[in-house]
Amino acid sequence: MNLFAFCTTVSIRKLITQTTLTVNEFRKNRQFLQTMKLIAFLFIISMQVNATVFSQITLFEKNVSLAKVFNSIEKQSDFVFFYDYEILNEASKVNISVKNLQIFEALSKCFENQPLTYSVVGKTIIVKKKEELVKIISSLEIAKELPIDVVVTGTIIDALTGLPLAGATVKLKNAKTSTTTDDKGNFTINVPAIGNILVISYVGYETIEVSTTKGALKLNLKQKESSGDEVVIIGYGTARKKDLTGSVTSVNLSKVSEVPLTSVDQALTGRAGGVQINQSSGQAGAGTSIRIRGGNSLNGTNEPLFVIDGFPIINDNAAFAAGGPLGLTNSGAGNAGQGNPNGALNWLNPADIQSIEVLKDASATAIYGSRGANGVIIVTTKKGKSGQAKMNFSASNGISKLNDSKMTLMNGSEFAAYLNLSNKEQGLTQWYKDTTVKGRLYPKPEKIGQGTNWIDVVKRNGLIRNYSLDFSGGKEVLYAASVGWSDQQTPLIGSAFKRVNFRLNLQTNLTSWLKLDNTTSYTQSTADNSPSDIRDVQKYGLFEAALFTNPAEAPYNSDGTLNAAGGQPDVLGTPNIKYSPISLANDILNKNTISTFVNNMSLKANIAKGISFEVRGSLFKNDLLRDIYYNSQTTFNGNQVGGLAGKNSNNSNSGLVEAFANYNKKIGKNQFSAVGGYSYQTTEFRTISAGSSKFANDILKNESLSAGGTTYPVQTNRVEDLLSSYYVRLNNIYNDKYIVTFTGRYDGSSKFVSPNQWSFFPSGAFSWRVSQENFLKNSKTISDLKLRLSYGLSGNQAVSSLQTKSTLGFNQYPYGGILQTGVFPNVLGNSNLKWETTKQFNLGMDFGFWNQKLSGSINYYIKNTDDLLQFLPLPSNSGYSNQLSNIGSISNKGVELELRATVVSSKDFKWDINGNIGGNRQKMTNLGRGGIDTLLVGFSVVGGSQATISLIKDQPVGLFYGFVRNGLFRDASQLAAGPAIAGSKVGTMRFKDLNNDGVIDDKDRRVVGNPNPDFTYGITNNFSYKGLELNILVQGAVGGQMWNLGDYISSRLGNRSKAANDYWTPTNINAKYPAPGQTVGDNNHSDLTVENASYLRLKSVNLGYNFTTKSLKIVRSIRIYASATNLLTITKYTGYDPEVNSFAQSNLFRNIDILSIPLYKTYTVGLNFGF
Amino acid sequence: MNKIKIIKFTFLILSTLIFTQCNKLKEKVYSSNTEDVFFQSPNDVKTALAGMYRPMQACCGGYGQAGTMILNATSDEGNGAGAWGDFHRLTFTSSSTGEIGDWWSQSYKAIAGANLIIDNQAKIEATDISAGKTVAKAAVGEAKFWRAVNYFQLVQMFGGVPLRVTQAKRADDVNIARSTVVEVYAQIIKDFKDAEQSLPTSTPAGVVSKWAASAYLAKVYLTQKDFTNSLAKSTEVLNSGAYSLDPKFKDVFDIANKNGRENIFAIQFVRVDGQGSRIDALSGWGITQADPGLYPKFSPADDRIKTTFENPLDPKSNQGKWLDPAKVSGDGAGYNFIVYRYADLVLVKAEAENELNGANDAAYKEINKIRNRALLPNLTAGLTKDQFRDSVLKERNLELALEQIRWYDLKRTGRLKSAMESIGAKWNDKFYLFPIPRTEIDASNGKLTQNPGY
Repeated sequence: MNLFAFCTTVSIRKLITQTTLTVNEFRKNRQFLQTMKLIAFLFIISMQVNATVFSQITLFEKNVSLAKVFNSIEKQSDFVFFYDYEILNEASKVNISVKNLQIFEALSKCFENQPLTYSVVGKTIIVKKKEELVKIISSLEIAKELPIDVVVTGTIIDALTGLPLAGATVKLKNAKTSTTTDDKGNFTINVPAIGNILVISYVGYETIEVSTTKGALKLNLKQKESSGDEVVIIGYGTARKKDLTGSVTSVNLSKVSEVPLTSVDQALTGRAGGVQINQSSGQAGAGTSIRIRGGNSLNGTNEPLFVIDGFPIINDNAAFAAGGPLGLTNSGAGNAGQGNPNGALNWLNPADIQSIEVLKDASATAIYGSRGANGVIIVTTKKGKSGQAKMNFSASNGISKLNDSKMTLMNGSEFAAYLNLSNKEQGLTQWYKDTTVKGRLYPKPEKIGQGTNWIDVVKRNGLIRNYSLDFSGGKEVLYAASVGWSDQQTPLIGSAFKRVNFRLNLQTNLTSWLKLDNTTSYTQSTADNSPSDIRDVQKYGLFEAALFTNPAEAPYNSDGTLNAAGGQPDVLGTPNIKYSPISLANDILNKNTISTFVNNMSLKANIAKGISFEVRGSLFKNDLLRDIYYNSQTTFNGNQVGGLAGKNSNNSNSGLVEAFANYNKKIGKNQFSAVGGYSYQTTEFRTISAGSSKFANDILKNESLSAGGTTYPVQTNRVEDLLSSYYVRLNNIYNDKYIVTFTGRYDGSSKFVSPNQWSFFPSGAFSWRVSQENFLKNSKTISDLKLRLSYGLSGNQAVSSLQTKSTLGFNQYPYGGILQTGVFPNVLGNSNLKWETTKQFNLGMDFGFWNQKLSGSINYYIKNTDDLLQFLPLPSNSGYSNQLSNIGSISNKGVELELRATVVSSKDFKWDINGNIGGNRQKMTNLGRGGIDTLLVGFSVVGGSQATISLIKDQPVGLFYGFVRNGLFRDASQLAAGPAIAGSKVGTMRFKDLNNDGVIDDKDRRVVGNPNPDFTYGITNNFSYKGLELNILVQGAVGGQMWNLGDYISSRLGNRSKAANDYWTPTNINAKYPAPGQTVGDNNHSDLTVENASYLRLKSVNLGYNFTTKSLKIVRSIRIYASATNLLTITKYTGYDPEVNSFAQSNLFRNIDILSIPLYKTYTVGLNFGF
Repeated sequence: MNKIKIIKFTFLILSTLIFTQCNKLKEKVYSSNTEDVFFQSPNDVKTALAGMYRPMQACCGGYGQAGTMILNATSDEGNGAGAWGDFHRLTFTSSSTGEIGDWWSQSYKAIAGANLIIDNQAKIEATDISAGKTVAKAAVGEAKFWRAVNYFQLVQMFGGVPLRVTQAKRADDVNIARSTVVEVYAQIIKDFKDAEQSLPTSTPAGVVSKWAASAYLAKVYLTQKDFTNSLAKSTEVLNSGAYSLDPKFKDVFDIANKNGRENIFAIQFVRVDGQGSRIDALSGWGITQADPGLYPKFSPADDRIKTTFENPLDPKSNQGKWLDPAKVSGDGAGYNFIVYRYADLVLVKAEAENELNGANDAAYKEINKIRNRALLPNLTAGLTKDQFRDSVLKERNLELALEQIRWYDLKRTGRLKSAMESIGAKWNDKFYLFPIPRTEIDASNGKLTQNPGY
């Protein structure tokens, strides 16, 4: 806005004030209303006659009323008359005869000798008593010339793409006149010649103001990056970004949505400071784990609360997981039979999302009270806009590839030789010596050559297909509807993810004050993965199996049958059990079908000026069915029991009723707003599991459980929890400079009992817009500066139900030889349980330089969480092993920086950079276990081997804990010097005797690694040249280690990495790996496998082109794009992927890689049409 | 616009919401029972009786697995492979193996299950409509019997242990200190006596009767060297005719003869995955191998060799008593684990008789019953008291080999040290007791003291 325009605005304001005073003098006048109408017209529309060609008038009237003449003129021209009938009574009859006379000449003839006069305002002819008009005109101090308006026409286009923007609002500043652009971006508006300022706004774009009297404007609107006027969605309301006191990051979705994504959580990767996102693996439909400002909890979830269109959903993948197959009672912790559960947010189609806001500090999250401690992510889906019906169609197709280049495995010859040596060492048969066993020849190693690369056998080019169609528009009823279809076949054979989703949002005004808004969505998805087979061993099934399978063996026998000997040489003699990875993929059915239905209905009433009241009712329903079948001939589990079939169903139902009011009032320099409300949410989980085994054949799979000879007991479970809440937020902005917010929520949960059932979570915040102060107001350098300070409490009640109640459990026992049900004291309830409470302090600054060319924010926070819900181990002589209790504290501190810069902003070429970086420091300040300051927690790695993480006072959670490797026993003298584990030989692993007691045992362990990165970052570069756009996201972590247990697992089971060829021999005494077959010390997990997990990843690259479609009538826009993800990773990590998290959302086991499937590389091309 | 209408609209919605919802925060328990709603019918009582046995039967604890590893291996009978060899070599510590912890915690879970019944005696009696409340009494008696069996094992293995005679319910009773050995034995004897009073004399197969309690008393008294009472109790049971020896040694372990005449108390297993025994399957890990010194102790004529060893020709064979060729899975073998059998009691009587009255005819009569069934001749006549004692112990060694009894016998008679030294283990007197699991000591915040030396 230029200075001239600004001054003009001021003078117009002055006019209005004065006019109002003038009008007050007329207050008692009977003609007050008339006057008001006139004044309105005078202001709204300029008073200059349009200089276009005027209409020609022909009139032949004798002794008629003036009104009749006006009618005739109206019929012959575009003009209309504006007058009060009463004043026409004073007019005399008219005699007129004119032919093709210019309208104003005709008019002057009509008004000859009348007590009336007229003025032309646009196409309106205002008729008034002569003296009155003069009075008004003079009171307005308007120039001598009679006012004449200007017609301004123009086109609004996207500055970046050059595409017309339909539906943009063009408004005359300080007036009610406004119009919207048509589907070609064109508008026409009448403006006064003096002081006209057009305000042009469009959702998602920066608002501009122009002062003009000329027509045919071409105006460019820039997409909003982060200007202060941007409206962000906060809990139970919205706020202008510049008025926020809390720490909130909005994620710009216009760029994100162009990448084909499965799930909304993936859209956040690398795009918000202080938000760390890990995908658990490349499994089809796998979930993600999100940490906002570190983890606060050990047993509750650390995942943020998602609020999707007002409906709160915890991103807890466990709630979306089905149980393991029945009959596998001996499953280890790592083997739930299917690896990681499906993502909790898979049901939401990323293409339906309008905006995402990440609420981080207590001021922002306290309105979510007991669920706010991990941060809140607000997702708002698209709603219909008034105007012409629009339709968008988008299609993308791509391929995905297994990112398996990191590790090279031994080939057939190498492994056969290794296996011979290993078996020799262990006194077992050396197979590969041209021996023939049961008719099979086991050639000498050197004859085998490359053998089989089993990864190649199970991998393929994955397919990605996404199609979506959406409609929006409406007049009385606004609608937004979409249908989406997504199909992904992952790069591993036999696994796929499919999704179909439907959405419909309808909005309408029931009465002038009551608005109805309803969104319905239904999603059905299926995730098909190859699970593990052998008990206690595998977590990830196919990928892991392919890694360890013997490369000396061929996938198929010469007769074309599956090679039964594929997997483990030591079971060669076992008939009919096929350890082939191919049978895992083809002969195990493991499919999750998930149906999700969501309906949100809201009634919003505008009760009075500034007061609105909203009632919401929502239903969230998620049904999961897991189908399982292990083939009786080709899988181990199935073979053991003659085919193993199961069906697990997991239903969750959540209902929400909510009522809240919004109040806004401006009192002097204070802009006050308040929100207050009540909400009640019920959540119910129900599960049913049934299974049987011993089938006559494999034809029916799991579709007829009653056909099985052995039926397992059907298991059912049901829990319900209730949450009742009152909440309030009070906000005051003084003079646009000082902003104070108070927020509080009072939550009651059925999971707790009195007096801890209800708890209050307050927060307060203050912010100061320094840039509004006089000393900065005119600064050319600093365009925005705001300081923010907040403190508050939030909670975490994400603890499972029924923990305050003592319950009896069921078991079975053959009492008197007859199997029957038994009961036993199972859970010792703790009636003193309460919420984990997080106290959070946040100091932040938002800044902008050079007219926001560079802007950003920086935050420093301290979060202290007390009353951690932990399972306190009880002495087992109590009859119980543990009890959930509130003990211990965790502290998180950190700094986050977000920066946005416009590097180049010329007409054709533009370059923006968005970057963020966040570092968090976590400390377990109190373990809550009396004098104990170290707690060790083991996890199953493979076949009974356990690795350990630690909780140590004043250290971060989850430090790796293990032995320290000291190479190998190189020679006899070194072995003799010891200390050595019993059974050690020359060439065996050697460990440090840390406590110098001459024995290598558990006491010789220490912290060997830290999974927490020093900081994580993301940088997005957006380039555009005319219609061409390129955006690049680079993301990564610095510091932090990964425990790479993959090669260990593989070596325990079979093949291993080529690096292990560097094994000890009498001539290679400085080898890294022990001599083949020397397994002593294998289970002593050590620092040897702890690796630096820093990485820099080219997460996504998108290249798009927007065609100019002015010449096309039907198509509004066309965009084509190509995109790639996980293209390049720079890391020293030697495992497959430094980003995976094998234990998914676990709070304790982070950055542990036990052969997770690496994230895939994807290459996609897509096409969007707008109609 | 009708403002009154709006206000009414608002008020209605608000009041409905607030007044109908805010009090409904009571948590409902759907899929499990709580104690206060339980024991409403005789069926509930039966359910609780079955439930209390399960912990010691289940995989990994008690008779499922831990006993084989701890009690057989820590003697000159068993062996143990790999990590489990620590027991045999006496290199175990309070935290190096999980089996001690399993045994400990499963025993206490079993005791908690028994206490659940005993605590609810009044409610159980209320459900009993029989005259004299005999059904309810029997149930409580069986719970006391089971509690005493567990304490009897614990006190021998660990010394004075925390004594729980009611369930732990509140914060202040989840963590209690150890009682003395004397206190624990007093409770064991009291419980067995109570059980003796309230259990019926005749019960269905596989269900304990009053004679089981009496037989246990005989063993308890013997352990306490109260030979008078031991002899009295063993004689009482022998005379009752409630039990007798199976004709052939192999019959004892024949699945077809489950809960046969020789059973005093057995942990029940059935051939269902997860409900069967896994001792058979443990052979696969080498855990049930016999110590090479066991085999030569048998005379070649001994009929028991072919049942005791899976491979009667191999001195390093796996045990052969607990085998089920038709097992449905590793946790699905169908034989019972016999905790106490009549042959044991017969030898208890022989031992008590000898200790009190020397190697008299009565003592010879009992030991020869056992020898004769094993197709062995009568014991050499005219042995001294000490010689006879050695003979009884040897007979127990052969008769009850690998039945998890040897350790108790060696400890009871002060021969544990010499037995362990004979197999080359390095002895320390601390090994008369097992260590209390390390995790248990840690969880007690200093309330539990460790056995000396660990």
